[in-house]
This record gives sequence, structure tokens and C-alpha cells, in this order.
Amino acid sequence: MSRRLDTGGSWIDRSRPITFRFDEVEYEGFEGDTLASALLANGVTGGFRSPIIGRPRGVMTAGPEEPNAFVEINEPWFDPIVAATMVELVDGLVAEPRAGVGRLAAPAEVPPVDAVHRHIHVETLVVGGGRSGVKAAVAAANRGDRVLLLDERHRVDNAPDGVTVLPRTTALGVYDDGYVVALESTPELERLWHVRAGRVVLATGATERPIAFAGNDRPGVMLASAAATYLERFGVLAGERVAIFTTNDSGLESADSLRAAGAEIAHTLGVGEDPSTAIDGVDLLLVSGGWNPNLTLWRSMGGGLRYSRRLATFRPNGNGPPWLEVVGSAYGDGLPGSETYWLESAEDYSEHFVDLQRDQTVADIAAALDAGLVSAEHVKRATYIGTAIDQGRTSGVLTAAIVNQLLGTDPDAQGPTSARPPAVPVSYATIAGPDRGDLLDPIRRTRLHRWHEEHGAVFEDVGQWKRPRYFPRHGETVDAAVARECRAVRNAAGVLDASTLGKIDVAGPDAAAFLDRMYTNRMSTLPVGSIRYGFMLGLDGMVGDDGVALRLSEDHFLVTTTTGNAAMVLDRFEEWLQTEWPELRVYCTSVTEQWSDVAVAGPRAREVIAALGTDIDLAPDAFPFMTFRDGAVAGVSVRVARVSFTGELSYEILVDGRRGLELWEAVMSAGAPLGIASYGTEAMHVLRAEKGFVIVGQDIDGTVMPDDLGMGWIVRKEDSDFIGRRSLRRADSLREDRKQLVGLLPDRLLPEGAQLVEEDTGRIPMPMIGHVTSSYASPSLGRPIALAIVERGRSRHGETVYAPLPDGTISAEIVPPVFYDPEGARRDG
Amino acid sequence: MTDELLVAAELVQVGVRADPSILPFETAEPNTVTTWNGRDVLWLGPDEWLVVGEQGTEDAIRRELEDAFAGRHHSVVDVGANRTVFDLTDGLDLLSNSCGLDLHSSRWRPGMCAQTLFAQAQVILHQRDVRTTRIFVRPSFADHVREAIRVTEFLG
Amino acid sequence: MLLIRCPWCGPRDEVEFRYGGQAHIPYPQDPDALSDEEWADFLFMRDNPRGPFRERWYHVHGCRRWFHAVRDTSTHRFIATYRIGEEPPT
Repeated sequence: MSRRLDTGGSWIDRSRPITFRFDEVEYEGFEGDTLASALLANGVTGGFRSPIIGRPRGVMTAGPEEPNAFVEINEPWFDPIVAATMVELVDGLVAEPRAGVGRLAAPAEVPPVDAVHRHIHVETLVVGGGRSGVKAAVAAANRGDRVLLLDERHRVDNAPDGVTVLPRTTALGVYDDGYVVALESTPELERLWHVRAGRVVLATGATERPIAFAGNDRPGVMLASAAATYLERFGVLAGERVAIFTTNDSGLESADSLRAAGAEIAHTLGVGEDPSTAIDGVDLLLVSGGWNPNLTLWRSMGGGLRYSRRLATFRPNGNGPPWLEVVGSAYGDGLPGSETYWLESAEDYSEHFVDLQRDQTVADIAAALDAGLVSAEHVKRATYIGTAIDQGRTSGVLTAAIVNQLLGTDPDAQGPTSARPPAVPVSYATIAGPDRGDLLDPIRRTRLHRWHEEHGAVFEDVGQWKRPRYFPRHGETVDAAVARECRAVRNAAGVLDASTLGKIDVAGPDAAAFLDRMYTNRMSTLPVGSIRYGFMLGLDGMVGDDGVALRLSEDHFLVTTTTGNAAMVLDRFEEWLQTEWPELRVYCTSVTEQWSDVAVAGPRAREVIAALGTDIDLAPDAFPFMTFRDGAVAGVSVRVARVSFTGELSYEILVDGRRGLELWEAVMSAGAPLGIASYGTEAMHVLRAEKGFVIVGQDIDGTVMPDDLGMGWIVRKEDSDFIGRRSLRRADSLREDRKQLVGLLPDRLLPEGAQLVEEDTGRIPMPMIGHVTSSYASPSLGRPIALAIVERGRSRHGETVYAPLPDGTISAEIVPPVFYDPEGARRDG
Repeated sequence: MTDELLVAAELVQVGVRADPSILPFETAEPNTVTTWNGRDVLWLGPDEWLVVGEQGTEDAIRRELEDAFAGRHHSVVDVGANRTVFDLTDGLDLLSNSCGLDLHSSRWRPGMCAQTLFAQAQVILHQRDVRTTRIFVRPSFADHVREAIRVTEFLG
Repeated sequence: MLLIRCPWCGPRDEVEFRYGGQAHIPYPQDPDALSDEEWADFLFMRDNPRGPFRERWYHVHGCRRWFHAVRDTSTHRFIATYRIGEEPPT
């Protein structure tokens, strides 16, 4: 039975019919319809169920306040649950009713949502494109402001020129300093707008309030203004024999408009009358309990409320941020006066619905109050009123009013609970926008990345960087590849891409003095041309980062940091220079990516460099350990540093980043006949552990001091201050039972992080005396090794400790933390 | 389409740190670009600038700077490999998808520069003329930035 | 998303900055003269007022300058920002 009138409907285009399916039945509507208006036009007055007790329900409103008519959209896009009043009808739409909770679709069913974000700056943002909103937008544009006007409906009538207008766009939340996030939702795309506005004008309008009476949730009960809207916008007459139950004039006006369109108004009821007496033979019961200003966004920024006796509702009280204002009916302007009437008196309130989406009634509110909950906030938590998708748009003020009435207090004793962002549901995919998959967090690659990829590298994440972990050949397992790479470095030569290490240029007359303050050892005594390894501590004395400093001249250093701490170290340098020591004449510049770092290590490393051709004298006494030389290698200008993280003869070649690949390929080519192999971070970890070299973030976890590592030698003896020095002398730092770095020789491979105990008795509880920080199968030793920190570790060499694990206990002998070449004889090749 | 919109530029870049009173070039308010003998000078901080020149001019630039600063505390560092440079045409809307700077033509004009975040990566933006935005980004982030531009361009 | 006025760059989104805690706590002249308790106090103890608070901020993803701010801790509102070395506004 069609409810569509032959004429009328300012929003629909009768020349453009649309076919859609609802609950497996095909219907027709017009372009401009919402799904709800098209269903009503087709005489579908019910078709829905309440979510918890399954009562029949129908369309009750014409907007986002809809509590009943929720649907799942399957074509031409997927939406798990959305109000039919907010769905723009498109050709081929397939929808089915859903009550309560949306269904998560399986990935194969759903194409990825296209979602983008957009940032926009305006002097004035107007939320709401009704009369007051348009007026405010025009006034702002005339002042010369950049103006953005949003409206959640899919049209804005009388959209002004000179103003950016966004229909289908809902403000999800208003935040500090005029930051507003808004969701623009079209069938093709979801766009999240990030608006920064100098001022925000809320022209968010008002929502009609229902009345609580027995059976007020049945299909055919509708807000009076909604029926008028369906008539005016969509040419739909929602009922032919109509009753109106109202506390105010607007209800009567809505009924009049239906009468003018041909409906019979069978009954007109006011305050105190019982609607159940008036519904026989009536197919539409219009309800109007007054109008509530829509103030969610106002309240989210701390805007206050005051009660209006005339309007029988709450309006803004003017106390809010200076950049936020409320206009129009959201302020209470132009709203009809209403009698104060929330519910129809009865013996039994169990069918007087208040929050239809939560199936909560006046009886449920009374039960909460009877249980001793007297705050509207507690009633909300006990009943869930206001927490559903409609966020209490039709139940918020009503609930507070009913609480006040049932407690016998004044109507303004308690106000409605506040709603939280988002104002309407928004999918995580939209919130993520383009920041998903590979774009979730930047993936950083060195300039040699493509080479690594082409040569089969398996990568690992080191912070945001992708670093080769190992280079398996011919289907090697990881263990086989790592063992091969380690053997290559120990027996011939290996090459590692160390480009990710942080590099900082430190220059100025006070550069040396500055570095002395930042590091535990003294860089000021470093000769030009030499390199020193140092620790940077936190003020708390814990090791924060390690690296080397190269002295380029009296006033000029190149400092390296670990990969993960590059930014932190530079930030710390700047913090101290800018905030504590502005008198020091030092300038720091990041050069992390100015230089690629090709690190060649192994007994044949010198031969590799020589084979490349160089003007640098590579003889050991001409180029000693911990010095550097500038020159040319393979025809490329380089800086070569003799530092070693593997214990083997090692040359780190620093080269302009744009020529890094060229140099790397030359190294591989020249080294091939010498047995060179590229190696990754896994082999690097094993090789350094065999030498007992610690790694920040692995053996050093922010709780470890230099002496704990057996590295007291790295702390200067002179009486000059450096960051962290005072903390090294705290009583706790001088405790004899501090955990100290040791080596372990376990009977089988230990898991990193394994806790260590003194006895193998299984007694519970058992004191834990330390844990394993690094653990590897050592190819050089042909057995498993580990590093650990253990209480009084240095006095326990030779003792056995145990690691109780789910699948059995591993025992290990405590040894000094160096397993291979303890004299350091291999360092010069 | 991204290939036409986004073109890599090969340029010389020199990092300069010094007290403003001893600079050999003019410098204006924060986040503006001045020119110096045919090079762009981008303000990065109250004592930090980036001098950008044509390929091959690096030695000349460094020599002129060192001569000007002779004997006084300064830092001149070649950073030509430290950032990748792209020129983006008609790309301000695109950048606004992932950048919180006010890039409206009334606020962001030719001759302005800014250090900021684009798609979670640190960038320097330089508006060279009405249509061209020059983007400086660390090479390790370049793939990410290019991909972020491509994705938002595709989605509109 | 606060809007923070860097003294050099002008107003920028909060994500470009890093918070630096309470301002005007200078590094002790002579750390050796402090007891362990006094040293711990310097390292860890900070005021936590409700209302205007003098703070340090770092424009880490912008001009990379540190500066000071007076900010109301209950409303988040920035009352003033000022450069290192400048007197705080009254």
C-alpha cells in the first residue's frame, strides 16, 4: 500500500526512480529518499525488532535520533549497522533489519573501505546547515572569514556562496582550541575532516522529545515533527487516520500539516490524557513532549546547562570556551513553550519506554532508584540508558526529568548525562584512513635496501628501519645461514650495512668540552684522527646509549649513536645546549643519512680494501685500530674508520649516501674471490656476543650502570662532571649485590629473558638472581653461549646456575663475559 | 599520475649554523626563504639555515660560507645526501590529507617554508611558486612519503 | 589536539611538540654537595599544581627549539609562551 502522495516532496526527484531490497523484498523509491522514507512510502511501518526483548518496532523519527530502524547494508557497500533514516537511497541498495549489535563481516565479503583524511583551517566553523547555521555562516563570510559549514543531512537548503559547504558530514567531536573532527560519509567514500577553527558555531538544532506512556514503542508511534518531515521532504503521508499526543503547539502544527495533506486527525490528546484510549483504528500516533536543544558538542568542551521552565528542558548557560557559541534552536531560540510532562501516570511502568534502543522503561529507572542509585549518572550505568547508537538523543533529557520526578525533586535538580565522542558511529578503517598496512608507521629503508632484497635478505624491524637479519642461500635455514655468515667473518671477510647508525656532526670551540659533559669518558683528550668509544648515561646514571666519536679537528667531531637512539641523542644534545648551556659555542647537525656505512670485517678485510684500490696506507702501524683516514676507495671519496664490533679486523667505510650502493657493489665484487659474504643483524649479534660486547636495548635495558657491565674503565677518573656522574655514587649504585654482566655456558640453548636461580630443587618460591640478556648458538665455539646479568655475577665465575623453564631446567656455568679471543689478538688481522 | 606530479630534484644542500649577525646572506622572518647568489636559503631555526643550490655548486657554496665566517664560531655541513628532494605540482590539497599545516593560499604563499609532519614523517616544505611545493625528506622516509602521496591521490 | 604557539613558528598542532615537564629547575651547581635524597629530589620530584604552571616544551618536528610556556593544567589552555632566557610573564 503506497503512502507516497502524487505531489510534493522537496528532496525527492520523481524522474529518477530507484530500486532497492529490504529484508529480501524489492521496493521502489526515488533519488533523494532516505531508506526510511522509501520504506514508509511503500507502507512498511514496522519491519524491525527491539534488540533485547524482541518487540516489534518501526521508524519513529526522521534523523540521527532514530532508536529503532537500524539496518545492515550489504550492497553496494557494507555497513554493519546504521539508522535507516540516515541512509541515502541509491540504486541497488540491499539492506536488512538489524537489532542491537552489528555483525563483523568476513574480510572476503567486504572490499577495503576507501577512507581518507583532510585537514582544513578556517576562521569560522558552523555545525548545522539549518536557518541559524546558514545565517551565521553568511555573517562570518561577509566579515572575510574562511567559513566551513557542515550538515549531517545529505542536502543543505539555501547553501550560501563564499562558504565551503559539506553535506553528509557529522561533527564527531569538538576538542581543544577549536579542533573538530567530522565524518563525511558518501556511498563512495568516507572522509574524516580535521578542522582547526578560530571559532565554532554550533547550530545543531533541537530534537523533539517523546513522552513515556504504555506501549509508546510500537510501530506507528512517531515523533510529530518526523511525520511532518516525511511529508514535506519526501511526499510521504505516514498515516491516514492519525492521533496526536502533545504538550506543545508544534505537535498541533505537525498534525495540521498532515491534515492538509489528507489525513484524518481522529484524536488530539494533551497532558494527563491516556493515549491507549485513542488508538483504535488509528494507524499513526504522533507524539510531541517538547524540544531538546542538541548540546552534546557544547557539553563536551565543558559548556554548562541551565533549565528553562518555559521550554521544559535544558539550554546552554553561556559558560564555555570563548571560541565556542551556540545559536538558533540549539540555544533554545524559537522553540515552543511546553508543559512539563514526562510520563503518563500508571500502576505499571514496564511498557513506558524511555531508551528504545536499550529496551529500558520507566520501570527500569524506578528499579535503579529503588536500589539506592540516586544520581542520573548511576542510573545510566545501571540501565545503559543513553549508551546505544543514538546516544540518548531521545532519552537523555527524559531520563533526567523522570529521575527528578520519581525522586520528588525539582525538574532542574539533575541534568542529562553527557554523551561522548564520536557523536555517530565511525569505523576504525575511517579513523585510520590511509595510515594502515605499510603506511601505519613509516617503514625506513637504507639506500642499499634493493640490493639486500635482490640477494634474498630476510629483514627484521629495528625501530622503523628494515635491516637484513640474514641472507639465506639455496634454501638455507636461518641457523645455517647465520652460522655460514659468522664463519665467513671469522675466517675470511663479511660486509654489513651499518647505515642506520645515527651520526651527528658536532662543531665549535666548545665541542670537546660539550662532549666531555655528555659522555662518561673524556672526548677532549682524543687526538685528531682518532676514535673513542663512549657511554652516554642518563641523569640517573643508567647507560642510555653508546657510540664512538671521531675527532676531525680540534673543534670538530663526528659522533655515532645506536640505530634506535639516533633521534634521542641529538634531541638530548640540543636540550642541554639550548636550556642549560647556551653559553657553549657548539652546533650539532644530523648527518645520519648523509653517510652510508659499509662495514667490512674479517681477517681478509684489509685485502678487500686493497683490492678495491685506495690511496690510504692500510699497514697496521700506518692505520692503527681506533683511528680513521679520509681518502678514496674504489675511486670514491670516503672516510674509513677502524672500529670493530665483531672482534675481527674491521673497516667501516663512510661514504656519501648517494654513492653507497656503488661502493657496496664494488666491495662485493672485489671481495668475491676472497670469500666475502654479506651478513645481517643476526650474525652481527652472535659475533659481538662471542666477544662480550654489549648492545643497548639487549643487555642494557635502562637499569644498568657501567660498572655493572664490568666497564668501569669507561668512566673517567678525573673530577669533572658529566651527565649521570652524581648518580653513580648513590648508595644504591654502590651496593655489593648489584646485578653484573656474566657469560654463561649452558648445556643447551637458553631463551632470552630466562630467569636464573641458584638451586635446582624446584622449591617455590625461589629467589631469582638474574636473567639471560642474550643467547646464541655460537659457530666459533660450536656450542650455545649466553650473556646474563646476575647478582654479584663477577664473584660467581665457575658456579652453576639454573633456568627453570616449562619444558625442563637448563643448567649453565657462569664464566667471564668473553668467549672468543679474549686477548683481542684478532683485531689487527 | 604520481610520476608527473612528483619529480625528484638533484640539488646541493648545505647546512649552516651561525649567529644571524655574521651571515653572508639576507635572512627574513622565521619559516621564510631568501635568495643568495642564486641559491635558496631556507630558515630552519633562529641559528640554522639550509642553503640549496644547483648540482655541482657545493664547493663554491662552502668556500663562500667559510670565507664569510672565517675565525668565528659557525658550522657548515654538506647535507646533500641527507635529504631527498621532490617537487610536487598542484599538490596542496593532497598534502592537506596528511599534514596539519594551514596550506590555504591565503596563509601559505610562495617564499614560505616550514618543518612539519606529513604522513608521520618529518619533512621540510618550501612553496617555490604558486603551483610548486618542494618537499625535503630523509631518504629513508622517501618511499613512505611517495606512497602516502600516491594512495591519497588515488583515493581523492 | 592542542594548538601550541611556538615563539618562532607560530601556532602549530600539538603533535609537532614534545612536553618537557616543569620549567625553571636548573641543573645543580654542585651535584657532589647534594645528599642522595636531595639529588633524587632534583631528578624526580616535580610540582603538580592545579592552574597556571610553567612548563618546558620542545618543537621537535618543527624548528627544534625549546621554549617555555605558562599553561593552565585544569583547562589545558596556554596562557603564554616565552623563549628560554626570557622572564616568565607575571
